[in-house]
Amino acid sequence: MAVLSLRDEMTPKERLEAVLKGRPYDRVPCGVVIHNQAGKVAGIPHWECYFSSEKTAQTQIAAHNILGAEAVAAGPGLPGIAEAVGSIVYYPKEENTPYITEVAVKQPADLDKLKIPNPWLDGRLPIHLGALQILVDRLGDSVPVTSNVAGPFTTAANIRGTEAFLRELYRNPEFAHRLLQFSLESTIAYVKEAAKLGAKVSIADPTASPTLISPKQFREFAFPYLQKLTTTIKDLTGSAPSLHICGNTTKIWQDMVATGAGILSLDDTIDLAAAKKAVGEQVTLFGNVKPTATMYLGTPKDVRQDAKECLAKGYDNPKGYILSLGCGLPMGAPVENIQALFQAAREFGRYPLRLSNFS
Amino acid sequence: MANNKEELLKQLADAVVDMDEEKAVELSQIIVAEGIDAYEAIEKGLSAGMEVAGRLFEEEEYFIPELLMCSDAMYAGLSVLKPHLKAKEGAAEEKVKIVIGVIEGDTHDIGKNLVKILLETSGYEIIDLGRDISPQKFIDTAKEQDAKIIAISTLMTTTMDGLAEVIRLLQQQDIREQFKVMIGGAPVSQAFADKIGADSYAVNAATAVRLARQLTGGAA
Repeated sequence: MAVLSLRDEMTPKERLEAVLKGRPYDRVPCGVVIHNQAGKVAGIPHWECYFSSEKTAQTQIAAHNILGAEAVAAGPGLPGIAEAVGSIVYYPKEENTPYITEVAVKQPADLDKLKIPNPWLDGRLPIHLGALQILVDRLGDSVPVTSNVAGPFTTAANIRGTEAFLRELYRNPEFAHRLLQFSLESTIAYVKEAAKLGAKVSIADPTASPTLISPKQFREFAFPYLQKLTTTIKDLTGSAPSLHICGNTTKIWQDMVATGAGILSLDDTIDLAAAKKAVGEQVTLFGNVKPTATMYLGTPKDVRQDAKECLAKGYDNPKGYILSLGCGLPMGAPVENIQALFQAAREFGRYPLRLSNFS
Repeated sequence: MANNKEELLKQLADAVVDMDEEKAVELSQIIVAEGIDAYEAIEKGLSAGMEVAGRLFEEEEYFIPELLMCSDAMYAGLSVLKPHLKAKEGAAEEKVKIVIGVIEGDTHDIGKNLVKILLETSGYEIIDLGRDISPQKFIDTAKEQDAKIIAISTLMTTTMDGLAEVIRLLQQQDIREQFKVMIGGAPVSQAFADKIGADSYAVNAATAVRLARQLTGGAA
């Protein structure tokens, strides 16, 4: 029996482009982005990255060089745009996630006092842009450099407070739309600068999840702004962004596709086979190894098994498939589990993908 | 009048389901003026309406904004009716107490707030600690208040271990048997609940009510 070569023959950038364009590639891409664990191997506490372009970039370079990440990322994430317009974010100096402690808009009238942020001056946006600059310079030729932004619905909730904002969808829809428009324009202001640096953009819109709002409200309040953001990102970066929405998104897949997103990132509650059938002709699928049960609480053996199950469902997606997680990588996930995922992509995902390789 | 009473209570329940705060207030005022028992109006009007809302939420007809609006209507009606509650004759029936909160390091409290609302309307007395609450504080409060259930939620993997810590501390202090521990939140699961030795895991707010009833032998 011939020994399978597990050496990559393409750079992560070439591989991703090939998958997205429907051309042959060496093996399935593995799209997991690593922050906290990369900080550990680089010897940089992750809370120091929040305030330093250099440390953010160093950590991401370690994620690629040492852990084998096939994409590097720096960006405002979920709270960043809200923070740049005046919401206050707290940064725990421990293994925990930053969170908003005070919102910028305490009364609807406060919205009129806010200004579209200057990405080179406001909040931590300059830090992200600085990190992107370094990453593009150092790795841009071979590794996709992405900037992650929140969808306008999530940003609006982070500017107003989620509960107040969700009530306003009923009580004051006109204000909700004004806030969403402001969130959109603030996000675009940042995206313009990130695009100039040569970064690609990914969108996450967790607050627009069907776990929180009805498909009807998604269409009315989240969709129009997401679509505008997606179109703008495509114009500015030359690539349709990926779109992640948490939870069971089955009822809004068609809407997610209609935003113009090129890649749908699906939570682990989703059956990839069902998504493939519904929207696989239109978008690349991305996911959906279980972040908690497998990556955080499981073993490398569990990771291999989960990866195989995802591959078995996604491998023949007409518009391509990227092995990744159903949501963000938990901070506490052991490094050996992350390595097992990359290993699974190399071992089971050789081109041309065959069902017999992972069943 | 009986007919009128039933009709008013039904309309009050409907006002809650229809998210109609003004109507809930108006009907509550009529109910008071008609001399209808406030307790009955809360139980058969407001709580019944909230129960329907909870069911619609489970059936994915309603979502979080709708539940928030329903609960606003319910609380608006409640503020009209509450001053008219007559002190119960004889031994007042003690409500079962539940201590609820979001674990330390986490400030996501929408889910917790919904669980609280639905448990409250099901007749439990809720001690809401809020968010970012240390494991020991859950235990101290449950002891002080003589609560039956400790309900803890988290939305993040980084704070999940805090749920296990509550149970570890209960065991260390040799009082694990005194309380039922109920957990919920996006990253946790039945498997995680089993692993840490929690008594139950609620996948959503409506389920939490059912499980609370089970844990307290049907008593609320």
